[in-house]
Amino acid sequence: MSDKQRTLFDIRLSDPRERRRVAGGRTRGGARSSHQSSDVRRFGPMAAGAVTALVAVLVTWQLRPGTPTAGKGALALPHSQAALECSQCHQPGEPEDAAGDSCAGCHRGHESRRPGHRALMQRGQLGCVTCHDVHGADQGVRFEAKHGGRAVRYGVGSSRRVEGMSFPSEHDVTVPLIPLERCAQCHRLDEPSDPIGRCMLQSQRDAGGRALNVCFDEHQTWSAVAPPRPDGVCSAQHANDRFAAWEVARQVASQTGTVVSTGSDDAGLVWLAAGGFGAAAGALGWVGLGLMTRRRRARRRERAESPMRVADVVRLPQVDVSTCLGCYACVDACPYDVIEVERYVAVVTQPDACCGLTLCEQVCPNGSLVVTDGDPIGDRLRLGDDLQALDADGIYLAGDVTGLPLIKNAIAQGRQVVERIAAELPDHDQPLDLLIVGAGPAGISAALEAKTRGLRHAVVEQGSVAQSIRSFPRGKLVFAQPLELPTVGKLWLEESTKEELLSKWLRIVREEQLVIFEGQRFEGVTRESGGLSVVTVAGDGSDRSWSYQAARVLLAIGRRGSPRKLAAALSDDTESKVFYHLADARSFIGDRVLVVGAGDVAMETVIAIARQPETVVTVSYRGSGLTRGKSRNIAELSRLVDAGRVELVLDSTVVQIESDQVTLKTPDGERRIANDVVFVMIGSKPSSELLARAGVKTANHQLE
Amino acid sequence: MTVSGEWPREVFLAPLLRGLDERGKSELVASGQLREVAAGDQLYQRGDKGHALYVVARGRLSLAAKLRTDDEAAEVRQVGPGESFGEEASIGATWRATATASGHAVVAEIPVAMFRRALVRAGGDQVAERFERRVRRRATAELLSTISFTAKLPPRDLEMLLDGAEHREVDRGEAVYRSGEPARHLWLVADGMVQLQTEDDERLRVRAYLSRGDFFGDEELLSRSVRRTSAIASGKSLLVSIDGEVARTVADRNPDLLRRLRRVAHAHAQEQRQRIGQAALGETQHAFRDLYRLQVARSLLVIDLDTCVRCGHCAWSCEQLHGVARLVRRGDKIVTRVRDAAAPAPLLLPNSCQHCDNPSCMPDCPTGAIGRDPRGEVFIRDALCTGCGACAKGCPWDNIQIVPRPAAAPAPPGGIHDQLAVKCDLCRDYDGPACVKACPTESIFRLNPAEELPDVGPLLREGAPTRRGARVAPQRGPLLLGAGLLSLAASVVGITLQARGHWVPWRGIGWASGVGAACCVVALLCYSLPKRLVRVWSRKRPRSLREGERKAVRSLVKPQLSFHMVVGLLSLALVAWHGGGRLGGGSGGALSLAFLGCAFVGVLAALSYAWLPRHLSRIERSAALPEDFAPARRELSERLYGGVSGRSPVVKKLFEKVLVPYLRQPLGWLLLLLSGRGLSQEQKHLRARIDTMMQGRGSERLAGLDQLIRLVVELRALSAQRTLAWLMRMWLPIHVVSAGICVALLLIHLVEVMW
Repeated sequence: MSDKQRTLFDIRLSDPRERRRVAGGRTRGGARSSHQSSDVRRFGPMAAGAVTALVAVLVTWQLRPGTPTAGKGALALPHSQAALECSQCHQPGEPEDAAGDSCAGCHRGHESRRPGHRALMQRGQLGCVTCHDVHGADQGVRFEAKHGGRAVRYGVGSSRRVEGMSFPSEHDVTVPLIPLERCAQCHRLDEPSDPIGRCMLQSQRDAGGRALNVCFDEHQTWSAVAPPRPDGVCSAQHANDRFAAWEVARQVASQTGTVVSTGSDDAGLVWLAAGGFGAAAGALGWVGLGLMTRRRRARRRERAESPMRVADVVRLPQVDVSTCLGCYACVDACPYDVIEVERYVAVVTQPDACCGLTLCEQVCPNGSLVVTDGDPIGDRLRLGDDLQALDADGIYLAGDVTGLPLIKNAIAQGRQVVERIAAELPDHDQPLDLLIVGAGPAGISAALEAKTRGLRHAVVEQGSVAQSIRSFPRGKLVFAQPLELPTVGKLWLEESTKEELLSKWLRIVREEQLVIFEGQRFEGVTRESGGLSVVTVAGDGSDRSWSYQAARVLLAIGRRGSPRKLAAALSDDTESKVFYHLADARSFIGDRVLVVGAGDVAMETVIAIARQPETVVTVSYRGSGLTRGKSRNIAELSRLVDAGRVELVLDSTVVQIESDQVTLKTPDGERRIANDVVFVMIGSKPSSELLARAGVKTANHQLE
Repeated sequence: MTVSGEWPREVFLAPLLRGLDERGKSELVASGQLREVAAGDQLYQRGDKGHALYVVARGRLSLAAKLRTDDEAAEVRQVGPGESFGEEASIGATWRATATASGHAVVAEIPVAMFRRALVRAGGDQVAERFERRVRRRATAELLSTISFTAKLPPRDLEMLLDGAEHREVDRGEAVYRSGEPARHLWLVADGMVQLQTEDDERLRVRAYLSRGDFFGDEELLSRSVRRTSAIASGKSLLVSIDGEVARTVADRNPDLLRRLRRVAHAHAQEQRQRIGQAALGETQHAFRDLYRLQVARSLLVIDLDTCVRCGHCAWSCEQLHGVARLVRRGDKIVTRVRDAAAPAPLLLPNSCQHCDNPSCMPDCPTGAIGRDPRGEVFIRDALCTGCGACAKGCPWDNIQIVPRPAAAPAPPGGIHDQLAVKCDLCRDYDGPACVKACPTESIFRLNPAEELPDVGPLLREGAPTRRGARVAPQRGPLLLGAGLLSLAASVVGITLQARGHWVPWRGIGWASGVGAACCVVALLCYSLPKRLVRVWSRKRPRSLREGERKAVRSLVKPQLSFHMVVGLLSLALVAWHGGGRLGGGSGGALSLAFLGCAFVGVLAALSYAWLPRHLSRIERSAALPEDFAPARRELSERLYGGVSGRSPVVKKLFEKVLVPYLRQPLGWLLLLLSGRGLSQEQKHLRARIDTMMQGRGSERLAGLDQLIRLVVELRALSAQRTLAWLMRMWLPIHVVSAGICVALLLIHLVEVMW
């Protein structure tokens, strides 16, 4: 470790980004922003539910069926409408069944026309309530004058309108009905000698005790109707049309039978059920409404956030050093490590890597960092608004290759391009509608969208699926936003590592059964009879090749290009020990590893492998010192070299690779090193060559 | 005492501060403070930890320290206006002298982190480096003289060590050295914690925890072998490295000393191992996994999972009071004894600020908005916070969050500053933490691990006073049982008497009990009010009281809940007396029925609160919110199926024949609950089953099996957790909604009876 790094004011030690390396090599993401847990959220809906229930029950009460049964003992319609109080019939202290005499208070004497009944009444063995069961059955029909004599069939605590039956009259007319079971207290209904038993109709007999007695002449005869009385409740009842009312009532009764009093025991339950149902419905509605608005809002936000094109000019962050706080917010936001903090002030260290998005500007807490426009970008690809190449019809681009970074954007572009292709696809006779080159985020998103839209499509990939993710520039991905994949839906990646993302990715490919041809490198595209013909060659160097005919070609080939290979020839058995990226350092435990190259990717590989037990790591680099790359990678590699975990061979090139050893050419002569695995990390051929071959031109080309 | 107003000119005349630019000065003024010290009062005490250095503005102070040769503390020097002192804080060391005011004095307190920032930014690297080198050597000497390893060395050897000593600051997770590397240094821990660990079979085994005053790396150094263990910083630590050659020379010259010290260290390690082994025995999660967290925590918020009913009132009340919940009921779980309790309790450490001894958020703050008051409480000054998020990224436990800045909060001048960092400040503006006051079971409380956790306390801070006395929670079971039985008996009597016609609902006793029941309903409803009106009952504390000692705060909701439950049970009897047990017939009957239903659900909730938490905590490795279960299941399944790949055919066969059926067994979660086993016991049980099945065959090809067993057991436990958590939480919404129905029916009933 150099002297500088031991001083108090060295950045390395007080660097929060370094600090975020916690045990196990995982780094943590950005700052935690506020988030409402269910602990906080659920009390609102609960209170809302209670209020809804309250309101629902009150409303149910207003809309409840029938008339109210007075609270103190159920009554039928006429009595409850007359708002009888208990004390009007019942004297304090007297037994409850002794209230029979009180009826005369309103109804006056209704003596029976039948001698037998009259005798019993005189003896006190028969009262009004013997037949009229006031709190029990109390059946009857009422014709409401207000509604044109509409018939209402009532029982205790319940009533219902009978449609199509009416008895127009000046006053309300009430015809009480007696269930036969009341008569059965004295009469024997099945006895032919009994007067009631003798008169019973077959239908009444079938209905048993609940049938109604329809002999209306108990208190007066058919022929002699008394003249109207001047007072009492019956003044309106005993007009000359009483017979007619009886007749209608008889029909109503035969249609409706006995009315069972739902208004007594069951009413509470009915209300409760109705109220509870209302409450539940209200609460559900509440929750559903909340969900819907949230989803709608999210969708709107997403739509607003899907950029298709990149800026045409160079954009660079400008930092006002007099106000910059050195808080690392911009450093953490930048996906390409353009900015670093030095002496507590942010500085732009890699201007070439700037992507032009304003992620850094958005997070700067006090506006010290502003992204400004500069010169036009020369090597920008000439693309239309639909991401179709302006110089090559039918060839579309999506993903990193367009110059727009971030997986999120790649996915959005993949989807949008295929939407556009599907909408504008002409009739053609090619076997494929769409050929997608590259199975990275943009390619897979496009393939999923193509599958949804029913396009005939295929994907070719030079390595394996999602290779770009396997060797993504950062070892650790951090997403705070959901990725919306076609058909699969949201892929929420909060603080997910590269490995997690990759496994999700592969699962999606497997589950959706995407057609992906791996190991085929895109070679070029030619125009043939109204379509495009794409030629691919085997990615492993053998001379097999394939050709595809498609109407449209989507190039989602990223910016990495293909890995540069060593000059040294590889035989078939050494081919398998040479790798171009590191998938999992653990699988090299106990191996003797040679890493060729000393860029960031190579250094990160070295560090990861050197941390595995019992590995022997050698680095071969053609330069004479570690100069390129991030300072923290260089520092860590130097530390490992100091600690004897890694051997660094500078000014060297690989001459020969054999199955158990490699030969390096160094200034001191050739050197043989025992070896199991070789990593070649000497950069990659840029994809611009491929693009040029496909006819996609940059702005510079155009100028030339 | 803090003084407000302009800083005197003398302060900035101090040599230390001369290089600062205007911006730096104004930042120091904003983040620091002027303090007034009366004659004879101590500003700070030797041995305490500081985060600020001081410049005298007016008056004089005397710095006194006990030197190695003296018996009593003697004055080292006097400082006057324009002089600085207390610089040792800048390297995280403790104060070497006690600062006492000779007369009335005013001093400027300057946060070290801000000072450093301002100085470097103003281009004062040279000044800073010189200053720092001086401070460092002095602090190292101080440190060496207090560490047992070096305290007894002859002065010449000590000087030698001092020349070969260098400081190194390591961060959480950073390696001091890794196993296999050559041994080049002897290491001393000046501050923080370092763990010696070995990694075999993907499993990390901690061999020893080392804290202030311990030394390590000596064995390999003296035997000239490579490192056998890795030394990883458990948290931000300050180490002193001594060059290997120097250390060897000193050791050769004092052979006895080293041997004796080794013996002491060995005994210490033995004791530590024994203590940890005992505490870790049979527990799902022991307290040592993140010992550093317990070491730095001053005021750790914990939730006793054995009584916690997962109602979330703590987070809710926090949200009510502060607008955003500063506490999330997720986090690590530890199982350890609290104070004098005989049995270990499972404690959840939720995401809430623990007021660290050396907060790592503090030096990260670019504007010095994070302060620490004399009681050690860490707080954020809204007026300085820019919302940049550096503190939130710096906190190893994610206890700080960034929220949209409320309109009422003050903001720094210039810029937009639409965000704000918030964290638990122990409700410092109010008379007590709302979460503690709102807990219906008194499960959430704050503790100082070094003082109140007897298992880990001795490992954390030497000589920390231990607080005694068990946490007593009055049992309300008997009270409730009595109320329930009383209510039941009274109901039977009431129903019988009314059936026999002794009274009617609308007169006399019946009427009175009806009125009583209605009053009870009102009283029952009142239970929901205080929780919703946290802002109303949380009284603001006057500023003058904020610096005083805090009083212990107890739950307010717990007695309210007891009252609610007793009244609820008794009102059932009143309802029976009034309604005579009729559950139907008009609004009265409906009301009785609804009330009975509501009470029934309430009783079920109470029973589940009483019984379920203990069973739930037994099968938890960390506490989870209901929304965490689904992602956890996905993640565990993914890890499980990913973990099978690459294993030997024997393991794959076992996975298919034993583990998958175990996972898919219907009602497996119920079996786990009924078995009464904890997670690790269940793992052992399953492993024993497999071992019996294998009868010793193929045992060498079972690598990775334990990991799979762990995962399937956790998956099964997850179902159990989800069910239990659901059982505990489902009653409350039903209870609340049925209470709403009751209120509606009560209104209807009143309307009907009165008119």
